[in-house]
Order: sequence, then structure tokens, then C-alpha cells
Amino acid sequence: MRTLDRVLAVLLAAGGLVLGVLVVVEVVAAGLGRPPVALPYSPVAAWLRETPWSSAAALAVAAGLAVLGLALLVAELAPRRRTDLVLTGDDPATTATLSVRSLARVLESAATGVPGVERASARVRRRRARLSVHVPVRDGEEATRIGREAQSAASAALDALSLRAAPRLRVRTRQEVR
Amino acid sequence: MTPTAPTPTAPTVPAPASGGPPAGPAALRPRTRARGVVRANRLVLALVGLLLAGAGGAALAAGSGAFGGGVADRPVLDGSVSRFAEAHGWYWPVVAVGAGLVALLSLWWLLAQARSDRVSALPLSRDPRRGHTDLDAAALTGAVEDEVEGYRGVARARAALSGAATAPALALTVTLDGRVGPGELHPRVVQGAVAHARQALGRPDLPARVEFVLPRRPRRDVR
Repeated sequence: MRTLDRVLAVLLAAGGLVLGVLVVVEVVAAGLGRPPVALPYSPVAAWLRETPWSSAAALAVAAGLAVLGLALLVAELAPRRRTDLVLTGDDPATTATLSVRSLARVLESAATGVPGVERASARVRRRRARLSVHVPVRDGEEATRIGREAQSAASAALDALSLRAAPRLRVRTRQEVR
Repeated sequence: MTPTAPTPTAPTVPAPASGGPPAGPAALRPRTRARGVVRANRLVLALVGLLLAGAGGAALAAGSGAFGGGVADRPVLDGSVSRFAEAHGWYWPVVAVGAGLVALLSLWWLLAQARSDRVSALPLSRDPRRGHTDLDAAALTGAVEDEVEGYRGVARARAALSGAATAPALALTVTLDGRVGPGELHPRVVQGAVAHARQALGRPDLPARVEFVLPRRPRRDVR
């Protein structure tokens, strides 16, 4: 979100700068009795003069602005989700972190290291981690056993990180027979 | 600045090495990024959103006849605006000044994006008789990067000094290749590269922020 904010900020600031300068230029030019310099405002003004508020075009533009504004407002006011997990260490002046996304990779590679696991996908938040393990075997008991093995591999990997507040791990085994 | 507010330097420097619990979430601040800019972006964008939502909502209300059927049938730009502008000589100058203000504020906002609290040089000695000695931060961060990239399991390391030149903090991003886990690399980085950086700077309590990243498809160098 911070990065998206930055991109939006650059775009909006550049747009505001250009538009502001252009409006000043046009007002001065019009004051001197000159024709429009860069902003073709006459056709826009003409369109606005013949379009009533209740026309479909005006309503569509208004609805678009309202939706865009509300989306932006909600996105900026929503509390930021913390995505960093802190690793426990001996050095009090050092803070080591791992993003939830990286933790998902750790869990996935731990699970796929178990023989019989075809692939694994994890979704991690600060308090909860969900790992889903795909096991392509026909035998139900065998699949359960492989799933349990993947679970212990993933929790071992999670423990090895010694996170200060580790998310709760839930593993789901999906038996996939082709 | 109220007395109850944290000191201005607090956000840029994590809790000092006091033997207590490690620095809390306050240490999880953005690295080498001026916090003020992040907050300003959020505030300005929220205001822009509010403005857009307000204008759009008002226009919707006007179009759907909430202000009376007369308004809904009137053109968006009716004669009253141009009549007002003609009757009052100050109208267009005020518009121009407003547009100029928008341009200036936009320029400030644009320039603020380039701001960061990255430190590029550190004063090593400030002796008026023998002259000043500065250490180029890139020399230190380059050495830290090289050391960490030499560790098994590390694909890439990026280091930077942030904060103030008199109270710097080390920010280190370590991208892993998947062979060694972050839990195993963590003490190695702290006792190796971070300790050496502290030694080089003569700051045994140099705060450090280490971020481990595991990409989706780890790049594996054959070494």
C-alpha cells in the first residue's frame, strides 16, 4: 500500500502541477484577449453548457467520481495490516523480520520437501497460517500419513525460525488422484 | 511538540541496547524512507478521495433531482457562472491564484517523494586542527553486502544506513535462495556482518534492521 500510495502521489502531484500551471497560463492568456494556449477548454465548456445535470453522461461521470473517491478514501483510512514477523534474537539492537509472504514460501518449501507431496500453497497472516498440501495418491491412509508428515515438516520449519509471535499453523491435505 | 509525545528522534532510532526485550513494533518502521512522506501521502490521498466522493455525490444528487427538479434540468454550466464572472472582476484572478497554489502544492508533494532518511556519509572525526574525516556510507554498506552475499543460502543482500549521520541505523535486506532458512542465517548475519559493521563504525550499539526475503522462485547460483 505504501508503494501504491507513492505511485499515486507521483501521478497526482505531476498532474496537479501541470494542470495548475496550464490554468494560470490560460487565465492570463484569456485576460490578454488571446486564444487558448494549450487547454482546449471551449469544446468542454460548450458540452457542459448543453448537458443537464440529469443527463446520462453527467450522471455516469458523477457516479464514477463518487465510486473512485470512496474507494480511495476507504483504502487510505483502512488500518494498515502489518506484514512483518519478528525473529527472536540475542541482540537487542537488531530487529530481524520476515514478511508473511516469505513465511508462506518457507512453509511451502518445507511441505514440498516431503516425498509424496506434489505441491503446497500457503497463505499467511500475522496470526494465522494456512497451508494446503496436494497429495496425488489413491490410498486414503497413505495420503493422511503424507499429510501428517508435511504438517510436521512445516511446523518444524516454523519452529526453526523462532518467531517472536508465530502464527497458528493449519494444514489441509488435498488428495488429488488423476 | 507536546511533552507527552515521543522525542523527535525516537521513530528513527530503535530502542537502545538496554538488555530488555528487543525493540517492539516501533522498530518495524519503514526503512530508509522518511516517515513523514508516507503519512503525508496517506493524508493527501484520503483528502483527494474525500473531495472526489463529495463532488461525485453532490453531482449525483443534483442530477437525480435531490436539489429540486429545476436543478436537474439545468445545464451543468449555466449562464449564472459566466454572469457572475463578468459582474465581478476579481473572479478570474482568484481562479488563477488558486490554480497557482494547486501547482505549488503539487510541486512540493512531488519533491517530497524523493526524500528519504538515507545517510550517505558518516563523520569519523571532527577535529578543527586536523580537519574532518568522513566515511562514505557506500564503503560500509558495500562491505556488508559483500560479506552477507558470501554466506551460503544468500542470493542477494542490500544494505543502507538510515536515520541521522550522528545516529545512524543499518538496514539490511537479505534475499535467500532457499538452501538455508532465515532462522539459521539470522544469528550468522548478526554475529558476522552486523557485528563487523559496528566494529568498523566504532558503534557497538548500532541499531540494525534485518529483513529476510524468500522470493517465489529462489535464484540459485551454482557455487
